[in-house]
Parts: sequence; C-alpha cells; structure tokens
Amino acid sequence: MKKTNYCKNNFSNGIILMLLIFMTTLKNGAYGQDKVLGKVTDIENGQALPGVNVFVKGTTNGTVTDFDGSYSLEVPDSSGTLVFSYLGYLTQELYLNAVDTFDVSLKPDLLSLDEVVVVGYGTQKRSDLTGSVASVKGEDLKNVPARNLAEALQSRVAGIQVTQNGGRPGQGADIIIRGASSTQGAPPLYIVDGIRIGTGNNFNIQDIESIEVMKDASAAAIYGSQAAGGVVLITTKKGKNQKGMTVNFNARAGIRKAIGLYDLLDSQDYITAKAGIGEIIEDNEVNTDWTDALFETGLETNYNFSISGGNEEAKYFMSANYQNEEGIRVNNEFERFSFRVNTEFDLGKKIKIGENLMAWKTDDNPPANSGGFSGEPFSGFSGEPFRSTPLMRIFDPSDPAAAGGWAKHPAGVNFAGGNPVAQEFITHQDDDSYGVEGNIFANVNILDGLDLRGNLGIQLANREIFRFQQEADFNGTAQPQELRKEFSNRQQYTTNLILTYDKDFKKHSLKSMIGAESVATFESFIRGIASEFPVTVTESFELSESTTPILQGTPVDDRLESYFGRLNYSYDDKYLLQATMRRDGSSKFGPQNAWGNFPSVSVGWKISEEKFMADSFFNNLRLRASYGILGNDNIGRFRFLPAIENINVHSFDNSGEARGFANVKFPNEGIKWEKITTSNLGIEGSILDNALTFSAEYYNKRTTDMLYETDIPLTSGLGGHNGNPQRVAINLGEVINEGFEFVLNYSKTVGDFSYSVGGNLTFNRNEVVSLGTDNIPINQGGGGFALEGTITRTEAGQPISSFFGYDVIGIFQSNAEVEALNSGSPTGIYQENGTGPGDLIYADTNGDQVITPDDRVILGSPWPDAFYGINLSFKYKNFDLSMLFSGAAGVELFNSNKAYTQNIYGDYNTTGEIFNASFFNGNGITEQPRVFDAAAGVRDPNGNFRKASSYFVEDGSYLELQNLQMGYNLPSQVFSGKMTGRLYLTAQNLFTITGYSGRDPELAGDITRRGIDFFGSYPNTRLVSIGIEIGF
Amino acid sequence: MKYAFKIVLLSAFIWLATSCEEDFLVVNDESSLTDEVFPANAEDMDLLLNSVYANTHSLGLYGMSFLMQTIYPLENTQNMGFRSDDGRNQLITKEANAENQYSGEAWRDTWRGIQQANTYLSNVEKIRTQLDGNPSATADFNQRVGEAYFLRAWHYFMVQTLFGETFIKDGVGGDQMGMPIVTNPALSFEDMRVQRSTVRETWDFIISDLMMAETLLSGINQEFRADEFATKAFLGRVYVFTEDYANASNYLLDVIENSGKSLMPFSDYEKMFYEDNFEGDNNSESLFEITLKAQPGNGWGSWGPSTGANAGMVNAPTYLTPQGGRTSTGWGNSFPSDENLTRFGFNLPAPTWVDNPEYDSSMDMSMTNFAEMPDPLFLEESRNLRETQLADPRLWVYARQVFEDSTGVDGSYFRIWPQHETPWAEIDGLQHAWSFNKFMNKTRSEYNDSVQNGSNIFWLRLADIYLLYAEALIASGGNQTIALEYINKVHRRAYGLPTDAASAIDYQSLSDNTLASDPILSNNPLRYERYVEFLGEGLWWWDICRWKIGPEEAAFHGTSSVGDIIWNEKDYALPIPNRELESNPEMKQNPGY
Repeated sequence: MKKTNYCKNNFSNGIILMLLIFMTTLKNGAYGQDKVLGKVTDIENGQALPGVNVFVKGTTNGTVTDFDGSYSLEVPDSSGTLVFSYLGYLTQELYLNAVDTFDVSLKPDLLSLDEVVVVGYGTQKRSDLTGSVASVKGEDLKNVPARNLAEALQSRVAGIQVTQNGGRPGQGADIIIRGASSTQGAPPLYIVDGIRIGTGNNFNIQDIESIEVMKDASAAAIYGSQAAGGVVLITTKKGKNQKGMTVNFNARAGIRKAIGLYDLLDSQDYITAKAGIGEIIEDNEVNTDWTDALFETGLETNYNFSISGGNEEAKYFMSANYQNEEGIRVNNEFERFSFRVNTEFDLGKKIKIGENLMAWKTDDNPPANSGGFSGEPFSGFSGEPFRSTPLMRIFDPSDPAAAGGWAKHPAGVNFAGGNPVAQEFITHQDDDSYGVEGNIFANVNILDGLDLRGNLGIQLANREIFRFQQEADFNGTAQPQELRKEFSNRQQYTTNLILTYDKDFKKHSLKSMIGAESVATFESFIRGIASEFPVTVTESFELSESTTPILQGTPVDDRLESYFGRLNYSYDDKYLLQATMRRDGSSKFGPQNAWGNFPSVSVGWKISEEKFMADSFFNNLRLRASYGILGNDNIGRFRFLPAIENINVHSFDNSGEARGFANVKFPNEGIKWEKITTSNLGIEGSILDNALTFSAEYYNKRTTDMLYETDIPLTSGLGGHNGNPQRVAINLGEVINEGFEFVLNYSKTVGDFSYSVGGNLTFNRNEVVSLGTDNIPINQGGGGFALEGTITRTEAGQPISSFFGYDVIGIFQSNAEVEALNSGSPTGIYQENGTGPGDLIYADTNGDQVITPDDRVILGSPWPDAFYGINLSFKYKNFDLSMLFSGAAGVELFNSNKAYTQNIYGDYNTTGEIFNASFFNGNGITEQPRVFDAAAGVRDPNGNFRKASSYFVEDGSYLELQNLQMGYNLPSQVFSGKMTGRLYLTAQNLFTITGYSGRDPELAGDITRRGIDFFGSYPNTRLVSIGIEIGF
Repeated sequence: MKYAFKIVLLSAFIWLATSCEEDFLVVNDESSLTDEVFPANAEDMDLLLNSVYANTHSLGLYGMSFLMQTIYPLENTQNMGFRSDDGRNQLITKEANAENQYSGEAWRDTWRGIQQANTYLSNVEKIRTQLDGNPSATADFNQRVGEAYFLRAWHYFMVQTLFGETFIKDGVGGDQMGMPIVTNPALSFEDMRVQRSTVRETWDFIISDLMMAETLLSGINQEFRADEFATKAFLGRVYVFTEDYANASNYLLDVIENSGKSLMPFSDYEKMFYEDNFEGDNNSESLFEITLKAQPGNGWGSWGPSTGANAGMVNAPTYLTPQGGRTSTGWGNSFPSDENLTRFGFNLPAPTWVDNPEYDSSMDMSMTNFAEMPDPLFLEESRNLRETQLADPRLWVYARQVFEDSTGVDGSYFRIWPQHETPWAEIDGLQHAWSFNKFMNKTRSEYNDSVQNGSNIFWLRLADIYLLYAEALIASGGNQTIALEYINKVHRRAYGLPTDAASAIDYQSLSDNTLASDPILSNNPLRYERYVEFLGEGLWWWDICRWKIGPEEAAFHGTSSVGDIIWNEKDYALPIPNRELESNPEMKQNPGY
C-alpha cells in the first residue's frame, strides 16, 4: 500500500510543480513598439486563410490570422523577418521594412514539406525528419465509417498491415507495422496528445487532427521499451484564433450485412446428407434456417457535433459524438457516447497551459458467451450456427419445459446441440464502460530557445459487466442459472517533464530535448458469481438462494520509469543528424533486468538543396538513413516470480471443506526485454511542380531475445486447478523482417476537374533465423475442434507461425493403392487402420513408409509477400468521389472451415459441398475426400478432416474496395451566410476479388494463429451509409 | 532573479525526475505467494497437502474424465449414444492418438498431483526442524508426511498404469519404458526435461514411497485420509501388479487379518455407490476412497475447483419424460455395452417394443402410464433372471434396467428408458441400452448441485484385497483352497449369503463354470469375480493390461456404435500427449503411436 501512496504523491508532486512554474513566471508583458497588419489569402483562389501563424523569426512573438485572414502584430522594431506558416501551404518569409501593411498570398504545398509533424515529445518540420514517419491527416478520415483508429489507418500507410478483426460491433482491428517481429506480438504504442492512452472503441476518430506513425527506430526509439511495434502519435483537434466560432454537424446512417456467410443445408438436404453417413432421420416438416434467424441487417448511426474557436488568449475545441451499431447478429448492439474538450490558454507570451480531455461511455450487448470477464476466455461462437439442425424449431410455445417456450431438440435426430437463437436471448449481457482520459499541460518559455513542458496524463476507466444465464434445457443438458457481475477499474497516471533547447548559429541549427517520465497503472476487479434464483432473470445478488456465492478479484499494478533525450543538428539546412537515447525501467521484468537502454541515430541529406541540383527536374529530393534499438515488453505480469496459489478445494469428511494451495508457475527470473534492431534507408522527393511525389524505403528489423511464452512439459505438473501449466516467458531466438515500401501520389487540376491517384505498396519478408541453441520449433494455434492438435509452427528458416501439417499428394483411387503402401510399411499400416479409396494420401516426408506426426511439414505462410493500398479521388465542381482499395498478395490461408462445410462434423449441419464428397450418396471418387466409410459404418476413418494438411491451405490473395465515398457539396445558394452543407454516401468492404473459397480472405488473429479461418469468429461486414454534414 | 528562477526550475525538474523511490518499479503479485514466504509452518504445509488430495478428483482423474471418459471406453464398459466425441470414440475402437483429449487430461492431471506432492515433500525438512522439541507436533507432522508419500505413489500408480509401456508379465517387461522419476519441483528448464525410467524402476519408486508411508503411518487409523492399512493394501495391490507374490501375500494377509475391515452385506454393498451413508467409517470394507461432496455453487463440476465430481453427469441414466420423450439426468452420453450384460448371465436378446394397451393418452406419461413397453414375454423372462438370481445380482448394481428400474428428478420418479441419443431404429429389437448405476444419483438430476456428485469412489476395498490375495496364492502356487475360499467369499456376498460359510453357489474349483459364457471369464472364477464385482469402478482396464487379454477382450466386444474394435499390441499403453513430446525433447513416445 505504501507504493500506491507514493505514486499518488508523484502525481500531486507534478501538480504542485506546475503551479510552481506558473507562479514563478506570471510576470511578463508585451513590450511592443511597432505594429504590422495585413491579410493572408490563398494564391490560387484568393480566399482568406484563417488560422495562419504569423511570427517574427527567431522569436516567440507571433499571432494567428483571424476568420477573414487578417492579422495584426506588435513588432519590436522594423528589422527582422516575418514568417507566415500554415499547414498545407508553403511557408513564406518577408523582411520587415518601413511598411506596416503586408498582404500575403500563400501557395498550397502539395508535399507539405514544411508542415510541422508531431514526433515523440516535440515537433519537427517534415523536411527535417531523418526517420520514417508517415502521416495521415484528420481531413482524410472525415466521414470515413471506420469504427476505430486501426481500421481508419487501413491501406493508407505503407508498411502497416491492418486487418479487420471480424465485424463485431465495438471490435478492434489488428495492426502490424513492418512485419511480425515476435510470436508474442508487438502491438503499436498509441500516444494521444503526448500521453500513452488506449485508442479502443471508445475513441472518436473524428476528433483526430493528424496521425503520425513512427515506423523506424530513429522515430520510435524515443519511446523505447514499448516501441517495437511502432508508435502511433495522435493529435486531436484544437481551436484556432479566429473570428466567431466554427460549428460542424455530421450525421450518418447506414446498414451493415455479413460478408459471405455459408449456407447450411435445409431439411431435405440435411436428411439426405445424414443418410449419407448412415443416420436415418424422419422428416418432421420443420425447416429452420438458423443462419437466417441468427443474422440480420444491422443499422448503424453516427452523430458528430463540434465547435471550435478562440482568440489570442484562449482557444477551444469541443466535440460530442454518438455512435450506435446494431450488430448483424440478433440481440447484439454497441453504443458509444463521447465528449471532448481541448482548450489552450496563453498566459502572457511565455506560458501556455491547456488540457485535452475526453469523457466517454460505451455500452455493449455482446454475442452470448463472448468473454469479457477478466481472465475468462472467449467461449461463444459468433459465426454461422453449424451446430444446429433444420429439423428443430426456434420457438415452440407448446413445450414450456424449455425456457420461455424456446424449442428443444427434436426427437429422432442425433443432435445434442442447443438452440443458438435462444442462447442469444437467454444470455442476458451488458458490458458498460465509462471513463475520463486526457492530459493537462503547461509550456513555459524560460529563455529564448529554452522551453519547459510539463504534462500530466490521466486515464480513469470503470467497467461493469453483467451476465445472467437463464435456466434452460434444449437438449437434455440443463443449463443452470448463473448471475455474474464484475466491476473493474483502471487508473493510469503519467507524469512527464521535458526541457527543450533550440539554437541556430549561422549555418548550424541545434535542437535538443531531455525528459523524464513515469507511468503508474493500477488495475483491479471484483467479481461476484451466484446461482439458484427463484426468478427467471435478475441483476441482483440479493435473491440468490445459494449459500455459497463466489467472490473473486485481484489488484495488479504496472510501473514504467523513463529518462530520455534527443539531439538534432543540421548544417546549412542540408545535412541532418539526429541522435536519441531512452532508458526505461519496467515492473514487468524482475529486479535483475528492469532497466533497458534504447538508442538510435539517423542522418538525412536534402539533395535538392544542393547547388548542383538547382536545375534538376526534382522539386525535392531527400535521402535518409537510421539505425536504432527498440524494445518489446509484451508479456504477462510477474513472469519472474514464483507463485503459490489457492487453487483447490477438498472435503475430507463429506461435510467440511479445506482449501488447497499449490505451486502453479515456473518463474523465469532472467526474463528481459525483447530487442528489435532496426535499420532504415529512405529516399523521397517530388517532380512536376510537386504534382508527383514519391518515396521508397528499405527496412530491416532484427528481433533478438525474442519474447516467447513457451509451453513447458506437462510432467512439470505446474498449473492451476484444472489447466495446463502456465506458459513461461523466455527470451529465445531471432527473427528478421525485411522489406521495401513504396508510395506514389499524383494530383492534377484541370479547370473544374481535379483528381488524384495514389498508392502504397509494401513487400515484407519474415524469417525466423533461430530459436535458441536447441532450435526446438514452437507449435501453436488450433483450428476449432474438428482439427486435432496445432496448426502453426514457428521454426528456424521459415516465416513466423507458418502453417504446419501433412502434405497431401492425392486421393487414393483404389484399395490396391492403399494395400501397396501398407505392405511396404513396417507396422503394416501406412496411414490409418481404415484408410481406403477416397481418402487423402499424405506424403511420407521422412521416408520411413509410415505416416506419423514426424511427417508434418510447413505448408504455407499467413504473411503476405506484398500488401498495398490504392487511393483514387476525383472532384468536379460540387461533386467528389473517392475510393480506397486494399489488397494482399502471396499469402496463404488455412481454411479450417472445410472440416464443417465438406464434412459432417459431430452432430453439426453442413453445406451443399458435402454432396461432392467421394463415395457420398452414390458418388465415385471426386475432388473431395470421403467423409464416411459405408462398409465399416465409420466416419472419416482416415482423418481427412481431423488432420491439419495441405488440403486446407489456400491462396489468400485479394483485392478489396475498402472504402468508397461520393459527395455532393450543396451549392451556396441553399444556405445563407457562411453555412456549408454536404451530402455523401459512403461504403465499406463493397467488393472483394479473390480466389479464396472461404467467407472472406481478410483474416486477423494473434500472431500464432494468424490466417486460420474458423467459422466461429464474427463475420466481416459490408456497410453502406449516407450522411449529411453541415458547417457554419 | 533570472538565475534564481532557473535554479528553481532545474531543481524542481531533477526532483521530479528522480523523486520516485527506489522501489517504484517493484510491484507484487497480490494473488499469489512466493516460495520465500510460503510454506512458513505446519499449517501452511497442510494447505499444500490438501491440494494433493483435491487433485485426486481433478478433471482428468476421478473428478470427471478418468472413469467415465477414459477407462469406461478403454475397457468397453460403455457403448456410445452420443457419437461425436472423438476422444471417447478413439478409446473405444482402440485408435487413440497422441492428441486424444482424455489421455491428455489424465497425463496432465496425474503429473500435477506428483508436482504438488513433490512441492510438499521438498519443504518437509525446513518445517520439521521448526518442530524440534515438540514431540506431539512432530508426530502429527510426520503423519501428514506419510500421507504425502502415499499420494505421490498414488499419482505415480495412476500414470504408470495408463502410460507405462507395459506391465511386467511373466517376469518380462521390467526393462521397457516406465515413467520419469521426478522427486523435486523443477528449478530450471533442464530440470523439466525429464527422461523415462524403466517399468521396473517406476514400480520400485512407487514401492519405496509406499514403504516411507508405511513407516510414517504406522499405527495410524483415520477416515478419509491415507492411513496404515490403506498403505498396506496399496502395497499389496502393487506387489500383485508386479508379480511379487510373496510380498503381496504378506501385505494382503496383514490387511485381511488386522485392518478390522469386513465385507458389507449385499444390501449395503449395493447402496454404497450412491448413498452417503456408506462412506468413510460407515463403510466397513473401504480401505482408501476418494472423498467427494456435492457443493452447489462451487464451480461447474470439476471445471471449477470443487469438492464434488461430475463423472456422474457424463454417463447419467436416461428416463421416460412425462411428454413421452427420452432424456437424461445429465449428459448421459453412453450406456453399458449390451455384451457386458451377458457376462452377468443376462442372455436375453433385446426386446421388441409393443404398444401398451393400458396407455391413457389424456395423461402425462409416468411410472404407470406409458405408450410403449418392452415385449411382456421379455419382461417376464428378465424378471425371472433377476428374482431367482439366475443372473448375477451385481448386474443391477452395475446398471439400471430399462423399464424395470427408475430414477428420480426433483422428487418425482421416472422409468429408465433406452439411452436417449441412440436412434430408436437402433433400439427396438436390437439393443438393450440400459443405464449406468454406480456413482450415479438415484434421486436427483446430476445437474443439481452445480453438476457435482458426492458419491465417494472406493479406490481400495476389501473385496479387491480378497481377490488379489487369491490371485497371489494361485499365481505363486500357494494354497489353492484358501484362494478359492476368498473368491467364494466375494461371490457369496453377491447372493446375500453369509460370506464365511460354504454355500450351494460356491465355486467348486478355480476353473469352475461361471455365469459368463465367453472364453475369458467362463471358466475362471477369479477373473469373473473381479469383472462383475468391480465393473464400473475402473479396475478392469488394469486387469486387461496386466493379464494381457486385450485381443480376447476386443474379440469379445467386436464392434461398437462408433466403429469396430481393432486391437494392437500398442494399446496396452496410452499415447504420451504430443504436447509433452513437443515441449520435452527427452520424452519418448510409446511404440506404435
């Protein structure tokens, strides 16, 4: 408890310190002599530009143009240079002279080289960057129906592979920056307005002003220990100095549908198919389409309202957002409310304080049994109800024995499953979260060039999860009542203090920064579980008849302490050098290995600034190179500590109870950071008056001491009450990701018509170089229950987590073929006892003439050789159209669904493909293996659909129209004053071109089960929606 | 002023940056203890020991899968109604592979028990020195240590008999692969790469643990825990299983003569498998039992930590519902194989079903009102077999008969009906599909009490000791008359006769006819008695493996609802799970897998 107090102290220390800073510096005033004024306009259309920064070079003396582009500024004397800078425009400089009015026209900068980009703990001009930083502007995300940040980034940035993680409302997307570097995964670090903050489904992407993605070590190393997966810096919208306020209202409504659901057999076909495996069923005149009953069209609505404005002293931005997603499954819904207020105050010329705060609430009614409780695995299925029978009704009011009249399983059918529709309705669930997060900051300009910035970040979140399982009996298996409720709480406090010093001497320019940061996280939950209620449904524990309700809950803390610095030096604005260093201490590693150092160095050369390039056709050309080390700490907590836990209960005398404690874990005291050493080489430039821009990069990421939570032998006997031994975190092996990224954009305006064409393309090669001295392969990743064992293997010389199984070399055509192989086998059986014609032939890869697990080989890689995004946009007068395509090539998928669509698994239903099986219902040998040996009465004796094999591996390349947006800007006559309006139509996942036979080739998943398609997951969705945007 | 200002700021900066205390990065796992602080005393040691006891009813052992999903399928005690469980199907047809769910659970859970016992034993010296000078505390502590040795041997016995490459038969097999001998909790990755010892070494290790237990538990007689005679009985069983008949006879006779145990009358015997009244001290023939208590709300069966077992739920009986359907008081996935009934002398073919002329369709079906019934002729004959004891009375202890027996649910009783997942077309005139009886609730649904069942599992009981003693005498050429007498004691009890007096139903010789007609049991009263006395208690698989009668058993059963039973020599041992082989390069698979 001492430590908790301590960190609160730390937090309050920060506040005191900030107050201190304000007090010691609240003593400055303007001391102007002359005044300059003028108006800033766009050179192309003459429109006034509000919000342009106007300042005297080398000073902090400046202002911002107001609504009609006007500015006025006190200047100390009439010497010096006045700088006009504005995002998206070329910065212009003017020498002050006797004249006191300067009207300026700015030229749009298609490259935005002088735009200021946010880098860790500071900003830099884009042209000065030596690392690999990709930017996405908030403007590009406007009206994009992405439901979370990762989804919004999809296909927009080279090197970032975003994969939608199923279409479940409120679900996130999977994001991998520059290849899978670790079997543990290395998620990117998200920083919002300078503070580590999650950007889950509570975050409103319409609040985003810009996103910067730090891809290489030079850019990310300033975030050290958690930057291995890249860093995503998000800046939210701020107010500007302007006349009046800007109001924006946006409303969108659309419908979502599941993509490519499998059609299950109807009653007639079901009866025929079951007869094919020897089950004779009588038709009972029922014909239920369970998929149809379970899936529906979901309505999605989104409202966004924002106001912003400000003057010289204060600027504000406020937004409110409401999003409602009806799932495509029955009784499945997600809602979000969010409210943001970002303000900034200038206290005199030297001090700036402000805050960025977001309050939010999400309300989720998830699919049944979809986890959510702390430590509770996902157990439900959100895909097609393969385990169902069309001969069962959904509702049967005549049978009150089942809960509320839901139908039970029919007589005479070998079916012991439940009622999938009822399950959704008798599982009452609610998952509510709410919180406040953001930061307050103060910036003090101590001396010319010397700034101190303090930042206090908070993240407070509460979550309440409720589940009531109604009593039911659909199949003779009574499901008892259970009430489960969990309250969890998360608090994270970040304190950082940054000192920067910038100085130019002649041709030398120096920027330096040092800082310190501490992050303390406190998490806890409390959960109650009770059963036996005299009512059908309740949210209250008070009614439980049970004498033994269960209480669970545990607190956990995390700490991170860091020191860092950065030095930027440039000579003649042509030669750039940057060095960074970060030292991180983390509570995740034991005392031995708590601290790690993460350095980087990078250089840049603005070739186009050289004299010899003066006449070249390049408007711009830059080279840059970087090298650095990043860390990854993506393992569970306390992996270095042994654990004796209270796991068992025993009754010695049939009446009392005694708890049992046991050793449950093997600790690895030596566990330490995973290190990722990254090199990056980039070239970028533009030609044709900046109409065509390009960039190309090469990167090499070498993971060493890879973190891996390994299985330990069952003979160790460790583990909880009823589980396998806890995995042990170890540092093991080496992985390389190497790749090229290309970005090309071209835009052109011809009269009223303008268009732009762009694209990004990434090639990545992933290879496990070694797995420690023994090189023991890592087998992981299951494929649902039909398939035995693991399906992926990580082994040296192969891509991480490749598909692994038997290599199919054909289908047995005759008994003679089987016998020929059997006769050569030392055991008399080549494959399986019952193998016969119509079964898959597996390759005997080790030549011992018998098929054993040792014959399994690598069958493919879930990692694409290349992935790309293509962006097309057109504009004609008031109309605009934009399209974003995404795709992947050279990738394999493991379609484990074949075990259900081409086979009858257990008492499941199947699809029409079953009728193509060899020897099925009078077939001869077909392309599909047999599912039943009629003579022996045995199903799948060869294990065609039980063993992972190349039969399931398919090409997963695809091209998808990910986003389409058509808009019409309402003509100005429609509105009075400065009001504007726009109508638009937007669509997501409109079509996919692929040869993949499963639902949708876009498949996410953990690193170790990547690319395994299993119908149990929530299907991806297609959205079409229309919206209106009004501003004034 | 300017400097003062800078100094204030700079020092403030340094203060903030460094003010975190030394232990800022030290956080503790509040939900667990480290080995530095635990166990600190004898009470803590008891908490560790409780876990080892509790582990005997973990999911993969007697909590759920060992009996009903591993042993029943292996010994073909059951046939499947539910046919979609690959794990059980493989065990029934003897096609198990290294991914088999149930062998995996048994492997995992036995090793967990061994680790827990090892953790206990590795702390014994540390705690014992604390008790120096306190004789009574030391004595109490030593008693617990003896229990820990017993329990380690128990878990080793479980894993060796399932996964050891072979039993020692006719002196052969001792040099084949047994189990790794692990005596301490692993402290390094190297420690976890354990190698298989030989069969002989494994049994010797079990024996040495039991000898330690014997010494430490000498004179201890306690309910529900390992004690002196539990240990001696266990040693007797181990010596028979390893063909050391001299030692076996000594220990078994010691138990018979000195443990104070006696066979219960048949009326109590038949109830002990489901009524709490015959557990612990009230059971005069139990030597060691897995104590279970149904505790509602305490986890869902054995999935959560619980004091009960949900083995009962897996194979719960099927009954006729008021609506006329068939349902089970649990999952009720399987039923006693029909051919097993014949071994008890129940040789009637499955009945055809006829309409009940007295059925009143205006009322719910019940014990007295049912639409269909087995052919009355069949009923008459079967009642004759049962009432005149022409079939072995233990059949109705092992199983509940369709139509004739009942089960209770929520205070009402219903007739047992053919297994609910088996298509009716496969029942009528074709299959009996009775229900299991041992360890099943007779009065309540298995779903009550969070699907936990509180019927203790009698792991070692006097009838077993009698038959083991007889076997030891026979095998070692000892006194055959005494051997026959002990077989007859068990036999007489089944017919409600005094156990110690000769009777009309006595076997006259060690190769006398039995009620079974198959070659394995028909002229072997010892085997017959072991079969019918213990069927459903998990002993038969051990007998199959140590007598090596697998091919004959497979031939006897022939086929099942999930495929033909094909015996291979490898089937005497289950496959070591792939998960073990993949994480422990030193582990060797049993041959043939």
